[in-house]
Amino acid sequence: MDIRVDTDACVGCGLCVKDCPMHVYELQNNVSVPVRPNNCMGCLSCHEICPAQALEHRGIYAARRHYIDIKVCEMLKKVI
Amino acid sequence: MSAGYIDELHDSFRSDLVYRSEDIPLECSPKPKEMEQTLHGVMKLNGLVIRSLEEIAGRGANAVTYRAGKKFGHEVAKYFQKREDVEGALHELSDLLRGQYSFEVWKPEDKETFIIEENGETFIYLVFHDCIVRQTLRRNGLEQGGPLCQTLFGYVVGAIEEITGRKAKLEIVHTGPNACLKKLVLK
Amino acid sequence: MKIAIEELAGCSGCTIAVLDLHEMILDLVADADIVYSPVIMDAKEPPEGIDIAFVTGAVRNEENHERLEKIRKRAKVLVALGTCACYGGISGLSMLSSNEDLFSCVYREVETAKPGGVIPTDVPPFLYRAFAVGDLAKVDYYVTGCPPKEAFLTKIIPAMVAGDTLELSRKSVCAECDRIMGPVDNWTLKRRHEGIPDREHCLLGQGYLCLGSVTFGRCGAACPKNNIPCHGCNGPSLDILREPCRDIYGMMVRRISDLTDKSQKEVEKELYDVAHTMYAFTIGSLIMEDKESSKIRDLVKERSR
Repeated sequence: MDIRVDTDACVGCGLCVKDCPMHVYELQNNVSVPVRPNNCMGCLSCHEICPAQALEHRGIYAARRHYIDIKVCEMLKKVI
Repeated sequence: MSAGYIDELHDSFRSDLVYRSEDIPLECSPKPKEMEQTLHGVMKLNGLVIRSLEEIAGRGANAVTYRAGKKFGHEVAKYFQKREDVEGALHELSDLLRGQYSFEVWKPEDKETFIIEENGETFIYLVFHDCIVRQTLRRNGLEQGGPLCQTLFGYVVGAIEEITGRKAKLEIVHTGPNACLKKLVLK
Repeated sequence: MKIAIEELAGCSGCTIAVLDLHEMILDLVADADIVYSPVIMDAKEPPEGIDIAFVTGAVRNEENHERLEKIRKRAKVLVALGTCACYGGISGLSMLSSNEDLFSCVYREVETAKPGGVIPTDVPPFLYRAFAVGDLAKVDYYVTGCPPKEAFLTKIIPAMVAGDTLELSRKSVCAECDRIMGPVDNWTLKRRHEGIPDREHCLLGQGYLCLGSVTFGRCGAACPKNNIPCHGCNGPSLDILREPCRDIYGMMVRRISDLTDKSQKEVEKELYDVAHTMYAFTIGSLIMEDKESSKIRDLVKERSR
């Protein structure tokens, strides 16, 4: 798994460190570092808890999200 | 309600259509927007049923949903070829479930095999990717890991029992918006 | 190229934000004619054949609704400009009072109302609630901000006029904030007037109700950088907007709880005036109200009685 952290965005709150059951992240010098990316199973609960949306997972399977309204989906695409 | 509105309402349910039972359904590929209304209605209703069940039955809700899932699992796996190996059974199950649920066996990098023995327990990690339960819960703002997840637990356990004859238990390790990690404990 | 700016229920600050392009406005008017804008020019009605119409403000009364429909018909592209147009904004807070109370406040109770003055009968009646522009008309682009900040508009308005697209960050205010979390000990909620926040560390971690994590960026985290907690004027961050189970209030409670190890119930007890502290800019939006975990419905019901 290729996990990247936007170090400018990361506020070093450590919520991803706390949240991940597989200990993928560690806090180093107030920035989250993915130290065990191969332990990531791609649940993305870290994305949900990150206040700065600083995390990026590449090469991941994106689960279906049919529960998002078409109306909301369209609005999301139009926010610039 | 004004008379004009009632007429309009009546008109909206009248047409010149010739309706024959052999031609039904009239449309096989409805528009996504129409499908969405049905889908959201079902999700919404399911969420409300689960919420009400939890309110009335408390922790008993889990038992009900688990039982429902287990019945479903037994029923579906009944027609499967019986086999000994759990991994094979899981493989068949994943083919069967695809569409509603998709999962894979998974292991942390420090483990050699998918069947893990730890603290006197034998288990396999399963990562569930697509999941109609998760979608329903997120649609309704319900916590993941609650009673509705028990249907899936029952389902997997029931199917594994039916195919391999082995007793098993499914535990939730972690939930997320994109996948959930579960532990299939073999007995 | 013809541009129009329509005013609905708002403060006209978004139009002023367009004027805040400063000398760049000369480049803009070289490429495009501003054919209609009640705040900055005298044209009374929008002409036909508008290329880009910016609509500012929420829809609160029948006149707003009519004007929105008219400009939608006459414009090729309609842009919801500012948080009122996108999410109801401050105008949406009017839903916390009944329509009768609003009317009586404006015409009788404010200091400038003459005692015994005539109550006008020919003003446009209120709709039953506030709406965001997108709730009632097809919108082509949403530009949030109260008002959208100059640095942001200088990028997007010329690009829109030129028909270009550009990639901008779509992250939350926290992503633009230069603070770090720092230690979170003995967390209790502080009102803004209590103490002076430490400039290095996260305002939320210090106990101030900063909505940065649930708020869409594009402001360069202007308030937190000036020691003021974010109050969410850019509207919700995109993850909040997207997920039916995520809501400004719920996510704030969860984050505070995760940061402080206090239970969500304990955190909820410390929060005050949720309508104004959490939903000040989104209360008029149907999309935000429709979320299952949203408190907007209850707040409106409770207060507007």
